Amino acid sequence: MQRIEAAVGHETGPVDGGTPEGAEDEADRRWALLADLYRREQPGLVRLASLLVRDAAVAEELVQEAFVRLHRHLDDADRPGAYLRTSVVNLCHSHGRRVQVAARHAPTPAPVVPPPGLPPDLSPVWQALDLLSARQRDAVILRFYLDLPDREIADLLGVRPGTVRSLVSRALTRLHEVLEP
Amino acid sequence: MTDIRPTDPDLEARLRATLTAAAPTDTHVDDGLADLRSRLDGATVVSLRTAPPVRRRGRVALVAAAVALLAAATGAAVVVRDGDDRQELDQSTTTPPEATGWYVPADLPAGWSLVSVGSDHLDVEGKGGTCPCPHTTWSRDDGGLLLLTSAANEAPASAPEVVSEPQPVQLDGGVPAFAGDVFDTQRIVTWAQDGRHHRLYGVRVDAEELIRQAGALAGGPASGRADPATPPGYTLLQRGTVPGGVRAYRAITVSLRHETRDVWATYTLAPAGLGGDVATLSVPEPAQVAGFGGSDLLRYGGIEEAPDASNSVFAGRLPGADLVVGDDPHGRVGDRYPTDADLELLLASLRPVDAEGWRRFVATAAEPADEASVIAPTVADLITPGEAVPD
Repeated sequence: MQRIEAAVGHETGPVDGGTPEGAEDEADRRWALLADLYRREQPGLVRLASLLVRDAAVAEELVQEAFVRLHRHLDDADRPGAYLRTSVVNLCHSHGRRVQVAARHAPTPAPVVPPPGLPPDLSPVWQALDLLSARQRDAVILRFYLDLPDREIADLLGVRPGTVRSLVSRALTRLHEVLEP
Repeated sequence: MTDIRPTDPDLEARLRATLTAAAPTDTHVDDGLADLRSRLDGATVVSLRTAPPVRRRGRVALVAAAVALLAAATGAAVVVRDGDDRQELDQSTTTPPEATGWYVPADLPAGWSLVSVGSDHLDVEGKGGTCPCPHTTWSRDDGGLLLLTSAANEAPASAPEVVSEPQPVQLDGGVPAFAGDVFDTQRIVTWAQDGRHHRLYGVRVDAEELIRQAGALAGGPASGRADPATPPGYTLLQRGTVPGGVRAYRAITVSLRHETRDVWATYTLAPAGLGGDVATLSVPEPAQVAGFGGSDLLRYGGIEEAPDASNSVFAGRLPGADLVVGDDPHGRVGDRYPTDADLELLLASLRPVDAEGWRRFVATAAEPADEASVIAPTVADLITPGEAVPD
Protein backbone atom coordinates (compact mmCIF):
# COMPACT_ATOMS: atom_id res chain seq x y z
CA MET A 1 0.00 0.00 0.00
CA GLN A 2 1.33 3.36 -0.88
CA ARG A 3 1.25 5.28 2.35
CA ILE A 4 2.76 8.71 2.40
CA GLU A 5 2.48 10.33 5.79
CA ALA A 6 1.37 13.68 4.65
CA ALA A 7 -0.32 14.84 7.82
CA VAL A 8 1.11 18.23 8.55
CA GLY A 9 4.67 18.04 9.66
CA HIS A 10 5.14 14.30 9.41
CA GLU A 11 7.74 14.68 6.76
CA THR A 12 11.23 15.69 7.57
CA GLY A 13 14.12 16.66 5.43
CA PRO A 14 16.19 19.61 4.44
CA VAL A 15 14.50 22.77 3.35
CA ASP A 16 15.09 22.92 -0.35
CA GLY A 17 13.84 26.28 -1.34
CA GLY A 18 17.17 27.98 -1.69
CA THR A 19 19.46 27.72 -4.65
CA PRO A 20 22.99 26.81 -3.71
CA GLU A 21 25.65 28.53 -5.71
CA GLY A 22 26.53 26.60 -8.85
CA ALA A 23 23.31 24.63 -8.85
CA GLU A 24 21.09 27.04 -10.71
CA ASP A 25 20.64 24.72 -13.68
CA GLU A 26 19.53 21.95 -11.36
CA ALA A 27 17.11 24.29 -9.62
CA ASP A 28 15.73 25.40 -12.99
CA ARG A 29 15.28 21.77 -14.03
CA ARG A 30 13.40 20.94 -10.85
CA TRP A 31 11.20 23.98 -11.22
CA ALA A 32 10.39 23.14 -14.84
CA LEU A 33 9.40 19.62 -13.80
CA LEU A 34 7.27 20.91 -10.98
CA ALA A 35 5.60 23.61 -13.08
CA ASP A 36 4.73 21.11 -15.78
CA LEU A 37 3.27 18.78 -13.20
CA TYR A 38 1.39 21.65 -11.62
CA ARG A 39 -0.30 22.64 -14.85
CA ARG A 40 -1.32 19.05 -15.44
CA GLU A 41 -2.43 18.00 -11.97
CA GLN A 42 -3.53 21.12 -10.12
CA PRO A 43 -7.01 21.50 -11.66
CA GLY A 44 -8.05 17.94 -10.88
CA LEU A 45 -6.56 18.05 -7.41
CA VAL A 46 -8.29 21.31 -6.55
CA ARG A 47 -11.61 19.93 -7.76
CA LEU A 48 -11.17 16.80 -5.67
CA ALA A 49 -10.05 18.77 -2.62
CA SER A 50 -12.90 21.24 -2.97
CA LEU A 51 -15.34 18.37 -2.72
CA LEU A 52 -13.54 16.82 0.24
CA VAL A 53 -13.29 20.04 2.26
CA ARG A 54 -16.35 21.70 0.68
CA ASP A 55 -14.53 24.98 0.14
CA ALA A 56 -12.76 25.88 -3.10
CA ALA A 57 -10.41 28.46 -1.56
CA VAL A 58 -9.31 26.08 1.17
CA ALA A 59 -8.86 23.40 -1.47
CA GLU A 60 -6.48 25.62 -3.43
CA GLU A 61 -4.39 26.22 -0.31
CA LEU A 62 -4.19 22.52 0.49
CA VAL A 63 -3.12 21.68 -3.04
CA GLN A 64 -0.42 24.36 -2.81
CA GLU A 65 0.85 22.67 0.32
CA ALA A 66 0.89 19.31 -1.42
CA PHE A 67 3.09 20.74 -4.18
CA VAL A 68 5.43 22.31 -1.61
CA ARG A 69 5.83 18.86 -0.09
CA LEU A 70 6.33 17.23 -3.45
CA HIS A 71 9.07 19.72 -4.22
CA ARG A 72 11.03 18.34 -1.30
CA HIS A 73 10.68 14.79 -2.64
CA LEU A 74 10.62 15.47 -6.34
CA ASP A 75 13.60 13.27 -7.07
CA ASP A 76 12.29 10.40 -4.94
CA ALA A 77 8.71 10.26 -6.12
CA ASP A 78 8.30 7.55 -8.73
CA ARG A 79 4.66 8.46 -9.29
CA PRO A 80 4.33 12.13 -8.46
CA GLY A 81 0.67 12.20 -9.48
CA ALA A 82 -0.16 9.45 -7.01
CA TYR A 83 1.98 11.12 -4.36
CA LEU A 84 0.08 14.35 -4.86
CA ARG A 85 -3.33 12.73 -4.67
CA THR A 86 -2.44 10.89 -1.48
CA SER A 87 -0.99 14.03 -0.03
CA VAL A 88 -4.07 16.08 -0.87
CA VAL A 89 -6.46 13.51 0.58
CA ASN A 90 -4.44 13.36 3.80
CA LEU A 91 -4.28 17.13 4.04
CA CYS A 92 -8.02 17.30 3.54
CA HIS A 93 -8.51 14.80 6.38
CA SER A 94 -6.30 16.81 8.63
CA HIS A 95 -8.04 20.03 7.74
CA GLY A 96 -11.46 18.51 8.27
CA ARG A 97 -10.87 17.54 11.83
CA ARG A 98 -9.14 20.76 12.64
CA VAL A 99 -12.10 22.65 11.27
CA GLN A 100 -14.27 20.71 13.66
CA VAL A 101 -12.00 21.54 16.55
CA ALA A 102 -11.89 25.20 15.63
CA ALA A 103 -15.49 25.54 14.57
CA ARG A 104 -16.78 27.13 17.69
CA HIS A 105 -13.78 29.36 18.12
CA ALA A 106 -14.07 30.83 14.65
CA PRO A 107 -16.81 31.23 15.91
CA THR A 108 -18.98 29.97 13.12
CA PRO A 109 -20.42 26.53 12.57
CA ALA A 110 -19.40 25.37 9.15
CA PRO A 111 -22.01 26.63 6.74
CA VAL A 112 -23.44 24.37 4.11
CA VAL A 113 -23.53 26.78 1.22
CA PRO A 114 -24.16 25.28 -2.19
CA PRO A 115 -21.25 25.99 -4.52
CA PRO A 116 -21.84 28.49 -7.30
CA GLY A 117 -23.27 26.91 -10.36
CA LEU A 118 -24.85 23.98 -8.60
CA PRO A 119 -28.33 23.49 -10.08
CA PRO A 120 -31.03 24.02 -7.46
CA ASP A 121 -32.40 20.51 -7.89
CA LEU A 122 -29.01 19.12 -6.84
CA SER A 123 -28.64 21.36 -3.81
CA PRO A 124 -30.43 18.90 -1.47
CA VAL A 125 -27.89 16.23 -2.39
CA TRP A 126 -25.03 18.60 -1.59
CA GLN A 127 -26.59 19.48 1.76
CA ALA A 128 -27.29 15.85 2.53
CA LEU A 129 -23.62 15.02 2.03
CA ASP A 130 -22.93 17.19 5.03
CA LEU A 131 -24.86 14.79 7.20
CA LEU A 132 -22.38 12.02 6.53
CA SER A 133 -19.33 11.45 8.64
CA ALA A 134 -16.15 12.78 7.11
CA ARG A 135 -14.96 9.29 6.26
CA GLN A 136 -18.24 8.30 4.69
CA ARG A 137 -18.26 11.46 2.60
CA ASP A 138 -14.67 10.96 1.51
CA ALA A 139 -15.39 7.41 0.45
CA VAL A 140 -18.45 8.51 -1.50
CA ILE A 141 -16.52 11.26 -3.28
CA LEU A 142 -13.67 8.98 -4.21
CA ARG A 143 -16.12 6.36 -5.43
CA PHE A 144 -18.64 8.50 -7.31
CA TYR A 145 -16.51 11.46 -8.41
CA LEU A 146 -13.21 9.77 -9.21
CA ASP A 147 -14.72 6.33 -9.84
CA LEU A 148 -11.91 4.70 -7.94
CA PRO A 149 -12.06 1.02 -7.07
CA ASP A 150 -12.25 -0.08 -3.42
CA ARG A 151 -8.57 -0.96 -3.31
CA GLU A 152 -7.42 2.51 -4.31
CA ILE A 153 -9.91 4.21 -2.04
CA ALA A 154 -8.71 2.01 0.79
CA ASP A 155 -5.11 3.01 0.14
CA LEU A 156 -6.00 6.68 0.05
CA LEU A 157 -8.04 6.56 3.24
CA GLY A 158 -5.69 4.21 5.05
CA VAL A 159 -8.39 1.60 5.64
CA ARG A 160 -9.20 -1.87 4.43
CA PRO A 161 -11.27 -2.43 1.27
CA GLY A 162 -14.00 -3.97 3.38
CA THR A 163 -14.17 -0.80 5.40
CA VAL A 164 -14.56 1.20 2.20
CA ARG A 165 -17.51 -0.93 1.16
CA SER A 166 -19.03 -0.47 4.58
CA LEU A 167 -18.49 3.29 4.54
CA VAL A 168 -20.05 3.67 1.10
CA SER A 169 -22.94 1.40 1.98
CA ARG A 170 -23.74 3.28 5.17
CA ALA A 171 -23.42 6.58 3.36
CA LEU A 172 -25.84 5.55 0.64
CA THR A 173 -28.27 4.29 3.24
CA ARG A 174 -28.12 7.60 5.05
CA LEU A 175 -28.49 9.62 1.85
CA HIS A 176 -31.43 7.50 0.81
CA GLU A 177 -33.11 8.13 4.16
CA VAL A 178 -32.59 11.87 3.89
CA LEU A 179 -33.36 12.39 0.22
CA GLU A 180 -36.06 9.84 -0.34
CA PRO A 181 -37.74 9.32 3.02
CA MET B 1 -19.43 -7.62 8.86
CA THR B 2 -20.06 -5.46 5.85
CA ASP B 3 -23.65 -4.62 5.19
CA ILE B 4 -23.97 -3.88 1.50
CA ARG B 5 -27.23 -2.36 0.35
CA PRO B 6 -28.56 -3.02 -3.12
CA THR B 7 -27.49 -0.35 -5.54
CA ASP B 8 -29.77 2.60 -6.19
CA PRO B 9 -28.95 3.82 -9.72
CA ASP B 10 -31.02 6.96 -9.39
CA LEU B 11 -29.35 8.06 -6.17
CA GLU B 12 -25.93 7.24 -7.54
CA ALA B 13 -26.65 9.23 -10.70
CA ARG B 14 -27.73 12.24 -8.65
CA LEU B 15 -24.60 11.91 -6.56
CA ARG B 16 -22.36 11.87 -9.61
CA ALA B 17 -24.17 14.85 -11.12
CA THR B 18 -23.95 16.81 -7.87
CA LEU B 19 -20.25 16.16 -7.36
CA THR B 20 -19.43 17.01 -10.95
CA ALA B 21 -21.44 20.24 -10.84
CA ALA B 22 -20.08 21.24 -7.41
CA ALA B 23 -16.42 20.97 -8.38
CA PRO B 24 -15.01 24.37 -9.39
CA THR B 25 -14.20 25.00 -13.02
CA ASP B 26 -11.64 27.75 -12.51
CA THR B 27 -8.84 26.57 -10.20
CA HIS B 28 -6.60 29.63 -10.75
CA VAL B 29 -3.71 27.66 -12.18
CA ASP B 30 -1.57 30.64 -13.25
CA ASP B 31 -2.14 32.46 -9.99
CA GLY B 32 -1.35 29.34 -8.02
CA LEU B 33 1.79 28.61 -9.99
CA ALA B 34 3.11 32.11 -9.31
CA ASP B 35 2.31 31.67 -5.63
CA LEU B 36 4.09 28.33 -5.54
CA ARG B 37 7.19 29.83 -7.14
CA SER B 38 7.15 32.61 -4.61
CA ARG B 39 6.65 30.18 -1.75
CA LEU B 40 9.52 27.96 -2.80
CA ASP B 41 11.85 30.86 -3.51
CA GLY B 42 11.12 32.24 -0.09
CA ALA B 43 11.61 29.01 1.81
CA THR B 44 13.95 30.31 4.43
CA VAL B 45 15.00 28.68 7.66
CA VAL B 46 12.81 30.06 10.39
CA SER B 47 11.14 28.71 13.47
CA LEU B 48 7.63 27.58 14.10
CA ARG B 49 6.74 30.85 15.71
CA THR B 50 7.92 32.85 12.77
CA ALA B 51 5.70 31.04 10.34
CA PRO B 52 3.11 33.58 9.25
CA PRO B 53 -0.27 32.43 8.05
CA VAL B 54 -0.39 32.68 4.28
CA ARG B 55 -3.30 34.70 3.05
CA ARG B 56 -3.81 35.48 -0.58
CA ARG B 57 -6.70 37.34 -2.08
CA GLY B 58 -8.78 36.83 1.01
CA ARG B 59 -8.37 33.08 1.07
CA VAL B 60 -8.32 31.20 4.30
CA ALA B 61 -4.76 30.69 5.36
CA LEU B 62 -4.21 27.13 6.34
CA VAL B 63 -0.90 25.63 6.23
CA ALA B 64 1.45 28.59 6.50
CA ALA B 65 4.99 27.69 5.82
CA ALA B 66 5.31 24.02 6.62
CA VAL B 67 8.77 24.33 5.18
CA ALA B 68 9.54 26.78 7.93
CA LEU B 69 9.18 24.16 10.61
CA LEU B 70 12.19 22.17 9.77
CA ALA B 71 15.16 24.01 11.03
CA ALA B 72 14.67 25.19 14.51
CA ALA B 73 14.40 21.91 16.35
CA THR B 74 18.08 21.25 16.39
CA GLY B 75 19.12 24.63 17.69
CA ALA B 76 19.56 25.49 21.33
CA ALA B 77 17.33 28.48 20.95
CA VAL B 78 14.37 29.35 18.82
CA VAL B 79 14.57 32.55 16.89
CA VAL B 80 11.30 34.36 17.18
CA ARG B 81 10.58 36.91 14.53
CA ASP B 82 7.64 39.20 14.42
CA GLY B 83 8.08 41.83 11.80
CA ASP B 84 11.57 43.18 12.23
CA ASP B 85 11.81 42.32 15.88
CA ARG B 86 13.89 39.43 17.09
CA GLN B 87 14.16 37.81 20.40
CA GLU B 88 15.40 34.47 21.57
CA LEU B 89 13.71 31.86 23.65
CA ASP B 90 15.95 29.91 25.95
CA GLN B 91 14.71 26.35 25.72
CA SER B 92 16.87 25.30 28.62
CA THR B 93 14.47 27.04 30.98
CA THR B 94 12.81 24.40 33.09
CA THR B 95 9.04 24.60 33.33
CA PRO B 96 7.31 22.44 35.93
CA PRO B 97 5.43 19.50 34.37
CA GLU B 98 2.06 20.74 35.48
CA ALA B 99 2.64 24.04 33.71
CA THR B 100 3.93 22.88 30.34
CA GLY B 101 0.62 21.63 29.00
CA TRP B 102 2.37 18.47 27.76
CA TYR B 103 0.71 15.20 28.75
CA VAL B 104 1.65 11.61 28.06
CA PRO B 105 -0.35 8.44 28.65
CA ALA B 106 0.78 6.32 31.57
CA ASP B 107 -0.47 2.89 32.52
CA LEU B 108 -2.19 2.22 29.24
CA PRO B 109 -3.42 -1.36 28.96
CA ALA B 110 -1.26 -3.78 27.04
CA GLY B 111 -1.61 -3.65 23.31
CA TRP B 112 -1.59 0.12 22.85
CA SER B 113 1.46 1.72 21.29
CA LEU B 114 2.50 5.18 20.18
CA VAL B 115 2.50 5.48 16.40
CA SER B 116 2.97 9.15 15.64
CA VAL B 117 2.96 12.71 16.91
CA GLY B 118 1.94 15.35 14.41
CA SER B 119 0.73 18.91 14.33
CA ASP B 120 -1.66 21.14 12.45
CA HIS B 121 -1.38 24.85 11.87
CA LEU B 122 -4.55 26.82 12.48
CA ASP B 123 -5.36 30.43 11.87
CA VAL B 124 -7.53 32.27 14.30
CA GLU B 125 -9.90 34.09 12.04
CA GLY B 126 -11.28 37.33 13.28
CA LYS B 127 -14.83 36.72 12.32
CA GLY B 128 -16.94 39.33 13.96
CA GLY B 129 -14.08 41.28 15.50
CA THR B 130 -11.11 40.74 17.75
CA CYS B 131 -10.56 38.65 20.84
CA PRO B 132 -10.56 38.01 23.78
CA CYS B 133 -13.85 36.39 22.78
CA PRO B 134 -16.01 34.95 25.53
CA HIS B 135 -18.29 32.09 24.57
CA THR B 136 -21.01 30.30 26.47
CA THR B 137 -22.88 27.14 25.61
CA TRP B 138 -26.22 26.09 27.04
CA SER B 139 -28.09 22.88 26.33
CA ARG B 140 -31.69 21.83 26.65
CA ASP B 141 -32.95 18.42 27.68
CA ASP B 142 -34.54 17.84 24.30
CA GLY B 143 -31.21 18.22 22.49
CA GLY B 144 -31.39 21.93 21.73
CA LEU B 145 -28.26 23.99 22.13
CA LEU B 146 -27.44 27.71 22.31
CA LEU B 147 -23.97 29.10 21.71
CA LEU B 148 -23.28 32.76 22.45
CA THR B 149 -20.05 34.36 21.28
CA SER B 150 -18.86 37.93 21.19
CA ALA B 151 -15.88 39.83 19.82
CA ALA B 152 -14.80 43.45 20.03
CA ASN B 153 -16.01 45.36 17.00
CA GLU B 154 -17.05 49.00 16.81
CA ALA B 155 -18.70 48.64 13.40
CA PRO B 156 -22.48 48.42 13.07
CA ALA B 157 -24.02 44.98 13.01
CA SER B 158 -23.69 43.22 9.71
CA ALA B 159 -25.44 40.26 8.22
CA PRO B 160 -23.70 36.98 9.08
CA GLU B 161 -21.71 35.75 6.14
CA VAL B 162 -22.73 32.17 6.72
CA VAL B 163 -26.39 32.84 6.02
CA SER B 164 -27.52 32.96 2.42
CA GLU B 165 -30.66 35.04 3.06
CA PRO B 166 -30.24 37.04 6.29
CA GLN B 167 -33.31 38.84 7.54
CA PRO B 168 -33.17 42.09 9.52
CA VAL B 169 -35.04 41.67 12.80
CA GLN B 170 -35.69 43.81 15.84
CA LEU B 171 -34.80 42.30 19.19
CA ASP B 172 -36.55 43.19 22.42
CA GLY B 173 -35.56 46.67 23.44
CA GLY B 174 -35.25 47.80 19.84
CA VAL B 175 -31.82 46.33 19.19
CA PRO B 176 -31.40 45.81 15.43
CA ALA B 177 -30.15 42.38 14.43
CA PHE B 178 -29.87 39.92 11.57
CA ALA B 179 -31.20 36.39 11.63
CA GLY B 180 -31.05 33.45 9.31
CA ASP B 181 -30.63 29.73 8.89
CA VAL B 182 -27.17 28.26 8.57
CA PHE B 183 -28.54 24.80 7.95
CA ASP B 184 -31.73 22.88 8.60
CA THR B 185 -30.91 22.49 12.26
CA GLN B 186 -28.65 25.50 12.80
CA ARG B 187 -29.57 29.17 12.80
CA ILE B 188 -27.98 32.37 13.96
CA VAL B 189 -28.84 35.85 15.23
CA THR B 190 -26.23 38.63 15.27
CA TRP B 191 -26.31 42.09 16.77
CA ALA B 192 -23.93 44.87 17.80
CA GLN B 193 -23.93 46.24 21.32
CA ASP B 194 -21.47 47.93 23.64
CA GLY B 195 -18.68 47.91 21.09
CA ARG B 196 -18.98 44.20 20.47
CA HIS B 197 -20.57 41.94 17.90
CA HIS B 198 -22.63 39.18 19.47
CA ARG B 199 -23.69 35.97 17.77
CA LEU B 200 -26.20 33.55 19.14
CA TYR B 201 -26.25 30.18 17.40
CA GLY B 202 -29.07 27.73 17.85
CA VAL B 203 -28.85 24.04 17.13
CA ARG B 204 -32.24 22.35 17.05
CA VAL B 205 -33.77 25.59 18.32
CA ASP B 206 -36.48 27.14 16.17
CA ALA B 207 -36.12 30.66 14.75
CA GLU B 208 -38.72 32.27 17.00
CA GLU B 209 -37.14 30.84 20.12
CA LEU B 210 -33.67 31.90 19.02
CA ILE B 211 -34.73 35.50 18.38
CA ARG B 212 -36.53 35.58 21.72
CA GLN B 213 -33.42 34.33 23.54
CA ALA B 214 -31.24 36.82 21.66
CA GLY B 215 -33.59 39.60 22.74
CA ALA B 216 -33.40 38.48 26.34
CA LEU B 217 -29.61 38.48 26.19
CA ALA B 218 -29.40 41.83 24.43
CA GLY B 219 -31.94 43.55 26.63
CA GLY B 220 -31.23 41.92 29.95
CA PRO B 221 -29.00 43.13 32.75
CA ALA B 222 -26.30 40.71 31.60
CA SER B 223 -26.01 42.43 28.24
CA GLY B 224 -22.40 42.57 27.17
CA ARG B 225 -21.15 40.56 30.13
CA ALA B 226 -18.93 37.53 29.72
CA ASP B 227 -21.10 35.52 32.08
CA PRO B 228 -24.71 36.02 31.03
CA ALA B 229 -27.38 34.25 33.03
CA THR B 230 -28.53 30.86 31.86
CA PRO B 231 -31.82 31.15 29.97
CA PRO B 232 -34.80 29.44 31.61
CA GLY B 233 -35.10 25.84 30.49
CA TYR B 234 -31.44 25.54 29.62
CA THR B 235 -28.40 24.23 31.47
CA LEU B 236 -24.98 25.83 31.37
CA LEU B 237 -22.72 23.46 29.50
CA GLN B 238 -19.52 25.37 29.03
CA ARG B 239 -18.09 28.82 29.38
CA GLY B 240 -14.71 29.97 28.09
CA THR B 241 -12.76 32.66 26.36
CA VAL B 242 -10.72 32.55 23.19
CA PRO B 243 -7.61 34.53 24.16
CA GLY B 244 -6.63 37.71 22.39
CA GLY B 245 -3.37 38.40 20.65
CA VAL B 246 -3.37 35.07 18.82
CA ARG B 247 -2.90 35.07 15.09
CA ALA B 248 -2.41 31.34 14.68
CA TYR B 249 -1.49 28.28 16.67
CA ARG B 250 -0.57 24.66 16.34
CA ALA B 251 -2.44 21.71 17.75
CA ILE B 252 -0.47 18.56 18.49
CA THR B 253 -2.07 15.19 17.83
CA VAL B 254 -0.77 11.98 19.39
CA SER B 255 -1.89 8.81 17.61
CA LEU B 256 -2.04 5.47 19.37
CA ARG B 257 -2.94 2.09 17.95
CA HIS B 258 -4.07 -1.11 19.57
CA GLU B 259 -2.17 -3.73 17.64
CA THR B 260 -4.38 -6.75 18.08
CA ARG B 261 -7.75 -5.02 17.87
CA ASP B 262 -6.64 -2.68 15.08
CA VAL B 263 -8.17 0.36 16.75
CA TRP B 264 -6.78 3.88 16.54
CA ALA B 265 -7.21 6.51 19.23
CA THR B 266 -5.73 9.97 19.49
CA TYR B 267 -5.47 12.90 21.79
CA THR B 268 -4.89 16.47 20.69
CA LEU B 269 -3.31 19.20 22.80
CA ALA B 270 -3.80 22.87 21.94
CA PRO B 271 -3.02 26.12 23.74
CA ALA B 272 -5.51 26.87 26.49
CA GLY B 273 -8.69 28.44 25.19
CA LEU B 274 -8.07 27.46 21.59
CA GLY B 275 -8.70 23.80 21.15
CA GLY B 276 -11.16 22.29 23.57
CA ASP B 277 -14.19 22.08 21.38
CA VAL B 278 -15.29 19.96 18.52
CA ALA B 279 -18.00 20.16 15.93
CA THR B 280 -21.44 21.45 16.63
CA LEU B 281 -22.90 18.61 14.64
CA SER B 282 -23.83 16.83 17.83
CA VAL B 283 -24.93 18.34 21.10
CA PRO B 284 -22.44 17.43 23.80
CA GLU B 285 -23.14 16.26 27.30
CA PRO B 286 -21.05 16.67 30.44
CA ALA B 287 -18.88 13.65 31.15
CA GLN B 288 -17.25 12.29 34.28
CA VAL B 289 -14.20 10.08 33.90
CA ALA B 290 -12.49 8.79 37.03
CA GLY B 291 -8.83 9.69 37.02
CA PHE B 292 -9.10 12.50 34.48
CA GLY B 293 -6.94 15.33 35.74
CA GLY B 294 -8.73 18.15 33.96
CA SER B 295 -12.07 19.88 33.97
CA ASP B 296 -15.06 20.81 31.81
CA LEU B 297 -15.10 17.43 30.12
CA LEU B 298 -17.76 17.07 27.44
CA ARG B 299 -18.69 14.02 25.41
CA TYR B 300 -19.80 14.46 21.83
CA GLY B 301 -21.72 11.50 20.50
CA GLY B 302 -20.42 9.85 17.40
CA ILE B 303 -22.15 10.74 14.19
CA GLU B 304 -21.32 7.41 12.64
CA GLU B 305 -22.91 4.58 14.51
CA ALA B 306 -21.15 1.29 14.82
CA PRO B 307 -22.35 -1.80 16.66
CA ASP B 308 -19.49 -2.15 19.09
CA ALA B 309 -17.86 1.27 19.06
CA SER B 310 -19.20 4.61 20.13
CA ASN B 311 -17.06 6.84 17.93
CA SER B 312 -17.42 9.50 20.61
CA VAL B 313 -15.15 12.50 20.99
CA PHE B 314 -14.28 13.93 24.39
CA ALA B 315 -13.18 17.53 24.85
CA GLY B 316 -11.96 19.10 28.04
CA ARG B 317 -9.41 21.30 29.69
CA LEU B 318 -6.16 20.35 31.35
CA PRO B 319 -3.82 22.70 33.18
CA GLY B 320 -1.89 24.41 30.41
CA ALA B 321 -3.74 22.92 27.46
CA ASP B 322 -7.06 22.13 25.87
CA LEU B 323 -7.68 18.51 25.05
CA VAL B 324 -9.64 16.51 22.50
CA VAL B 325 -9.70 12.71 22.64
CA GLY B 326 -11.22 10.59 19.92
CA ASP B 327 -10.46 8.55 16.87
CA ASP B 328 -7.77 9.46 14.42
CA PRO B 329 -8.36 12.92 12.96
CA HIS B 330 -6.23 12.12 9.96
CA GLY B 331 -8.53 9.39 8.84
CA ARG B 332 -6.64 6.33 9.94
CA VAL B 333 -9.08 3.77 11.15
CA GLY B 334 -8.76 0.09 11.70
CA ASP B 335 -11.44 -2.55 11.97
CA ARG B 336 -13.49 -0.43 14.33
CA TYR B 337 -13.61 2.84 16.18
CA PRO B 338 -12.40 3.16 19.74
CA THR B 339 -15.03 2.53 22.36
CA ASP B 340 -15.92 4.97 25.11
CA ALA B 341 -14.04 2.65 27.46
CA ASP B 342 -10.91 2.99 25.31
CA LEU B 343 -11.14 6.76 25.33
CA GLU B 344 -11.91 6.95 29.04
CA LEU B 345 -8.84 4.86 29.79
CA LEU B 346 -6.79 7.24 27.68
CA LEU B 347 -8.27 10.27 29.42
CA ALA B 348 -7.52 8.81 32.83
CA SER B 349 -3.99 7.87 31.87
CA LEU B 350 -2.75 11.32 30.88
CA ARG B 351 -0.06 12.70 33.14
CA PRO B 352 1.78 16.05 32.95
CA VAL B 353 5.43 15.99 31.98
CA ASP B 354 8.11 18.62 31.56
CA ALA B 355 9.54 19.51 28.17
CA GLU B 356 12.25 16.89 28.40
CA GLY B 357 9.76 14.19 29.37
CA TRP B 358 7.63 15.19 26.41
CA ARG B 359 10.57 15.00 24.02
CA ARG B 360 11.49 11.56 25.36
CA PHE B 361 7.93 10.39 24.82
CA VAL B 362 7.77 11.75 21.28
CA ALA B 363 11.05 10.02 20.47
CA THR B 364 9.41 6.64 21.09
CA ALA B 365 6.89 7.08 18.28
CA ALA B 366 7.07 4.44 15.57
CA GLU B 367 6.87 7.04 12.82
CA PRO B 368 9.11 10.07 12.36
CA ALA B 369 7.98 12.75 14.74
CA ASP B 370 6.74 16.10 13.63
CA GLU B 371 9.47 18.48 14.66
CA ALA B 372 6.95 21.13 15.63
CA SER B 373 5.87 18.72 18.33
CA VAL B 374 9.12 18.97 20.22
CA ILE B 375 10.22 22.47 19.43
CA ALA B 376 7.97 24.26 21.90
CA PRO B 377 8.89 24.19 25.61
CA THR B 378 5.22 24.44 26.50
CA VAL B 379 1.93 24.08 24.67
CA ALA B 380 1.38 27.81 25.10
CA ASP B 381 4.46 28.33 22.93
CA LEU B 382 2.55 26.85 20.01
CA ILE B 383 0.87 30.21 19.61
CA THR B 384 1.88 32.63 16.87
CA PRO B 385 1.15 36.00 18.43
CA GLY B 386 -0.55 38.77 16.54
CA GLU B 387 -3.98 39.87 15.54
CA ALA B 388 -6.45 37.41 14.15
CA VAL B 389 -6.76 37.39 10.39
CA PRO B 390 -9.86 39.42 9.58
CA ASP B 391 -12.45 37.47 7.73
